[in-house]
Amino acid sequence: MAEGKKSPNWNKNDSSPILKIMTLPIAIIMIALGIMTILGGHITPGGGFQGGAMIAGAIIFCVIIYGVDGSPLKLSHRFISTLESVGALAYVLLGLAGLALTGSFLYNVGGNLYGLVPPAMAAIFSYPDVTHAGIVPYLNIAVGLKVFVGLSAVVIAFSQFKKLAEEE
Amino acid sequence: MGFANIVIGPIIIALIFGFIIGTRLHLKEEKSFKFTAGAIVALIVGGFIMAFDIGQFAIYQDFPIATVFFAAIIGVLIGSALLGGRAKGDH
Repeated sequence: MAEGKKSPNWNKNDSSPILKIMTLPIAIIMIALGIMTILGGHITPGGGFQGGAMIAGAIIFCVIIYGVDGSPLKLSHRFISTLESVGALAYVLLGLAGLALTGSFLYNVGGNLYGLVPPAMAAIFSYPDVTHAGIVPYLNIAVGLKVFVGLSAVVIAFSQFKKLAEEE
Repeated sequence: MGFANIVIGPIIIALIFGFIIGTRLHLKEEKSFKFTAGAIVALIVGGFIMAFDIGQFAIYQDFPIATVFFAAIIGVLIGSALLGGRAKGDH
């Protein structure tokens, strides 16, 4: 590294008290906004990716301010891998449900626009709100889970690389 | 408009989603800070004011506050209160 040019140390807890006091409430609000963006993806701008990135932003915010060890939002390896798997599996299974029932992958079984699915089966996949959006909100949730843990894992991994480099 | 017309599905999903993330949230971290009960009350009040300013989703029009947003905050706090202190992070 060039002389006099220091990279930010994410493992050191030397942030100002104002940042330490304000970061966690703001992070919780960011998480709530991200969840709102995910769940409103079918009727408002946004969706799974955008909401997931907002939630990941909250976690990245905490990691930068409090450091990796002092961060209040601690994502374990098992938690990350579980949510990533659940998100991917949910997306694939929703797609396969359409394939099995109608012959079209990712057919909107809950919305049932073309009337290819029995009403009883469509009711199972229907999203419980006034829009009758079918499986679209569930796909948003699956994508949101994947993006949230995926982006968080990238930043946590980068911060760990820095920690490893310091230990050597 | 009123309590009887609230769309309950997204609220429940927001509570569950917030709960899942809240299970990883430590409100009392010895190395950095302590999130007190007063701060939690302030967060809930602030969240309610924010929810009122945001308003409900575009075509729901069932209640004047963003119920999903507020439910997500409550879910995060409940998840943190029930499991946040016990979850062992290893990052």
